[in-house]
Amino acid sequence: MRDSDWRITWNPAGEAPRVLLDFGDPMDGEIQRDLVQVVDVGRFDQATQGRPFGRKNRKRRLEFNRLVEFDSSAGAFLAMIDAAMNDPWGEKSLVQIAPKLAGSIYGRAAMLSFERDFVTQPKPGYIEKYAFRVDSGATGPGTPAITIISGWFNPPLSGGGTGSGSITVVLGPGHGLTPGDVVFVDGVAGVTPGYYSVSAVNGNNVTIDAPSDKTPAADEFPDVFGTDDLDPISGGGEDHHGAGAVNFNGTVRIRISGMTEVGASYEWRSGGAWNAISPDSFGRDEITYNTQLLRIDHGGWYRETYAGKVLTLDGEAEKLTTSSESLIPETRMDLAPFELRKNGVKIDEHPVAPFFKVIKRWTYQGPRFHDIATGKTLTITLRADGGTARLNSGVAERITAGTVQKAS
Amino acid sequence: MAYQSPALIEYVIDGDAYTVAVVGDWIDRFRTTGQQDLFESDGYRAADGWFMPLGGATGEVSFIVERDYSAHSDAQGAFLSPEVVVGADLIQSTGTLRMTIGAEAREWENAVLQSVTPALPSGPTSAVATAFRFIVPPVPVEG
Repeated sequence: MRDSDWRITWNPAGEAPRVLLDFGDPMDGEIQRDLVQVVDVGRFDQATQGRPFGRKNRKRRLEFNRLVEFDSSAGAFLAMIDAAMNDPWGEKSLVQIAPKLAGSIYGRAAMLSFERDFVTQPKPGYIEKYAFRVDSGATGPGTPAITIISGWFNPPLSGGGTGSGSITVVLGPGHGLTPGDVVFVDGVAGVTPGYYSVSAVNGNNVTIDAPSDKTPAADEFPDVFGTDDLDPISGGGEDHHGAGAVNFNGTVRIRISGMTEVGASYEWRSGGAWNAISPDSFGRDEITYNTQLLRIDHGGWYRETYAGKVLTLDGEAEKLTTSSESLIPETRMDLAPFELRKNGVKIDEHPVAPFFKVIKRWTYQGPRFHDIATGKTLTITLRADGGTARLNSGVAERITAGTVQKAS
Repeated sequence: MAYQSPALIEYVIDGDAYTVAVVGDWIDRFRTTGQQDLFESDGYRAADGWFMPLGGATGEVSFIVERDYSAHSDAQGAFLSPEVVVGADLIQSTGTLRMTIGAEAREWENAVLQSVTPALPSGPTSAVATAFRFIVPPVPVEG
């Protein structure tokens, strides 16, 4: 008894393909696919030996069997009888012979015979033997091994999962794998070479349920940067007098984390065009963005004669002296929200809130203004979805070699 | 290795059902087969050839029923008369082979009992192992 390395499908392209033998089915013996031709022998007078020659009318047979098991002998008995109801008598159809690792053969086939033997040991069931007449067949699409570009080891499933973990590998485009496929994984550090099933496919990222001895503990949160005090804001000056605007320029520091999906495209923007990001091996990046942080239009200011007013960004003009009037300038934030997107889909957005103060001070009776900005550089943290956590240990634990070969 | 039959096996001829084995009887080598002929092109250099099923599939249902007897002479008597096993000589016209498994029944219509072959197994018991072989259309129907 052995496990089947084959899948034989009757009418694979039809509406109701019928799998006659599947991967993993117990078999009484290997499949046979023999080819014979009729041999004629020419015999000549006085010749001591005949001369055989092949007529080249070749006949190929395909024979295979499997053991079908049941829990009760009655169930096995009934199933064995009912199995005959589906046998394709009088039909000729395409048949696919798919080995686990190589390309399939497709050929025409017609059923020659079946045999079903009832068995009770070790479990009730029956052994089903089929013989088909087939032709030599055409080679179907092959399944060459796919080289793993990159990848990482995933933590075990939380919440009482199998705890065996999985690996996510990055393959080239057109890998053709879909969830449920069986793949042969070879050459990946920490993973025993063998057959594993594909649990998820996200673009070029293929997650395979392959337990690894390098599986790390679960890391629920992406790495987060701390915040610091940063540079003062520059801009403004003393020369702005009369009607006009004052622009304040400054630096925005954008820290992005959680960009752990290898192979995904991450981009950010604050209005305008999207800018590409190159995350480090921890899925992070830090971007310094120099821009106009705000703008004050103080068209009415010049004409006022109230000395010593302090203009704040919240739109109030405070009087430093006992002047009787206040002035409300027009202020404008020109900074668009910071946005992060992955593979073209926006996944995070950070609105900008002013965290600084601008003072305009009127000196006595003169046409001079002082524009002073104090505050902190904006530090914005954007978080990508994190996804499957990359190892904290980073590059050293990434998958850098190996192959994946589709098996079914 | 014999096993107990999970089915009531009957052969119905002209509405008369003859019991071949009841549930729990010892049976052995229960087997169903089917085969069909193909048209295959023949001739020199026919290569892989064109073939078509000719249909007309024919099958077999065969099994062995074992009966134990208290005395060896009884077993020998049964051996000499296959009628003892089922109470009648069933090798005659076409009938229906019916298997009843629990509430389900499956029938091979137009079944012909081709052979009944009793044997006397050697050993300490006195038994007759009778092989039945029915020629049937291989596809059963629900009875």
